[in-house]
Amino acid sequence: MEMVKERPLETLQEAGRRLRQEQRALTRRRFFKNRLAVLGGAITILMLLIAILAPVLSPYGPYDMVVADRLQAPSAAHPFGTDSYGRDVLTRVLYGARVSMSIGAAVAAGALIVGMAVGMLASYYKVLDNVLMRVCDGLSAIPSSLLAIAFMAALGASEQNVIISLVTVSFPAVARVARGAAMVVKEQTYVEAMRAAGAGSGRILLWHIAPNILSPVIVQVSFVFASSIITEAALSFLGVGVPVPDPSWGNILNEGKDVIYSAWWMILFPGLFTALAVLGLNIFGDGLRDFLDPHTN
Amino acid sequence: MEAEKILEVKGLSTSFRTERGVMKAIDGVSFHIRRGEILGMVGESGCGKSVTSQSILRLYDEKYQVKYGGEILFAGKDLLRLPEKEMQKVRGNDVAMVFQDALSSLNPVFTVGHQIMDTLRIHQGMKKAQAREKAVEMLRLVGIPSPEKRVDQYPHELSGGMRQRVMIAIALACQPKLLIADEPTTALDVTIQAQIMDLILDLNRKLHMGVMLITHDLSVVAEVCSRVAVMYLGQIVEEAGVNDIFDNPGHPYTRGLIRSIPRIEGEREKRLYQIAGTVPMLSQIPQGCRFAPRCPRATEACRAQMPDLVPVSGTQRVRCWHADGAPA
Repeated sequence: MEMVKERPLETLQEAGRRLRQEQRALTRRRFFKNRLAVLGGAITILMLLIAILAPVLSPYGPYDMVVADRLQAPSAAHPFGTDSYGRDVLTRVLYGARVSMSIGAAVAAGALIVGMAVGMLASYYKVLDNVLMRVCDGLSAIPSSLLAIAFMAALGASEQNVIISLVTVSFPAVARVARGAAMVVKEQTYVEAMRAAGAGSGRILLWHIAPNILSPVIVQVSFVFASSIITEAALSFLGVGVPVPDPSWGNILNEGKDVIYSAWWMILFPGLFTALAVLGLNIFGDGLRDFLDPHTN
Repeated sequence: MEAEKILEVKGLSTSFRTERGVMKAIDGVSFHIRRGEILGMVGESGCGKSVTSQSILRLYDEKYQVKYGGEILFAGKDLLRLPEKEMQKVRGNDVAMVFQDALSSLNPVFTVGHQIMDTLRIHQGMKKAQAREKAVEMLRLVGIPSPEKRVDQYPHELSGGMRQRVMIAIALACQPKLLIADEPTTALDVTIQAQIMDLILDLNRKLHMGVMLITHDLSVVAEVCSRVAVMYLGQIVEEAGVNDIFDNPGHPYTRGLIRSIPRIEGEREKRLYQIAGTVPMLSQIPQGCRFAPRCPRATEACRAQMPDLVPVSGTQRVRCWHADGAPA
């Protein structure tokens, strides 16, 4: 009680501001208490920074060939060594981060949009529900990398087509999460109240249901981000992904497998980066789920 | 002279398609509400009060869930025949609704101001700044202190009573001709209940709109309503002015409801009266008079044939074979 009395009387506005600040600090502390999530977030941010700053960070150009220096082991001049064309592996791995992260992000964004749209429509219209969810079932019945390979074979290898085919294989998971959450939200009284206030279906879906299902969907999307980096690497490794000479972690690995006995550095470093990026995103997603979902803990 | 009828419901029936077949939740309900009048609608849980109110706004999914019958005349139009687009213009604009559960009737992700403005922007095509001004004005009207600050707060920052006030503000934002309040005070504590009822009564007088007040609290009815309709198992069993209902209840069910109110003055019964049994399921609607299995006065005639809602005196109408006889 003493403490309360000592504080000078504050106005409602001040009290509100103070409470909001305290709430924000609490939320921040709760997030940072989750060490793993913070670590995952840090790795992800680091990877994104590498991707953005690749031209600044890398000592050479990604296509610069010095045939005399081919297949050199890591040294001061080439910390990650050189490949069979004499290109600097560090440079190519950094530029590869660019390709891999941007494809991952584009697929995550695409899956978010398509998945949300499909999931919400399915939750709202019963006829569409059957049609859309059966399509999703069909897509998820086939292993995603196999399906992605099939799509790439049909569309042809290019960065854009990688994104298209990865969105196609990964949106069903997002759609299912979105549909489940939307089914719960649409039964809430506030949605009925909005109908009673004269809002149309489009308005209800976009403004009242969508924001309320965002948190489980975002968590799912963070996993899509991670898995599409792996699948992209797999596609590029198999030669149906990002076409050479553009560097991606997958096609550097592919080139490295031919010289695996003489040049271990060509598979170690891109492999390490892929693993690190995926690991970071996965534990970040896990942490995000614990943070956003009050039922876990 | 009596004011014009703003709502006239004639023979309304609402049937739900369920896994166990078609259930007629309300069956042949007819009543009207005049401008500036408060009609109380009472009955136990499961009597079809809420279904009636939600049918007026056609809130049920007509494609898969529900089938309506009868007529709902509002301002000369039959709401049941309106296309969905036209119906959207009626909802919230001409007929507004306040729900029972104030705590979950507001969207948690938007500020209360945003939600009031939403209605205004849908129906009145207001610009943001103008709608915001109106939202503040509405919050002030429903008695929320410092509305300029409250308008930017989220629902979780407000108490239950405040949230119900906000719901009323949303409902009244477009100045509806009819307000449907579905147990607006059930989720609130007693002192706040009184405040909210006072608010509705006050606004009803100020804005001269018709109010349909759904409640199972007869003391609320006695205080604010001018007429009362008593529902039992999807039918109106008695309709009368508020004085008639309490002084001279015609239907045994109404009598039962009134006897179950604890009395503060006078002699008290040892145990509070209760109506025997419970409301039957919709799949087990009894033949004849629907109340007969629970009625102390039921005779063979009651079990054989359903009575009509017939006038007994003045504006009082009762659905009972013994309505004219002496009270049991």
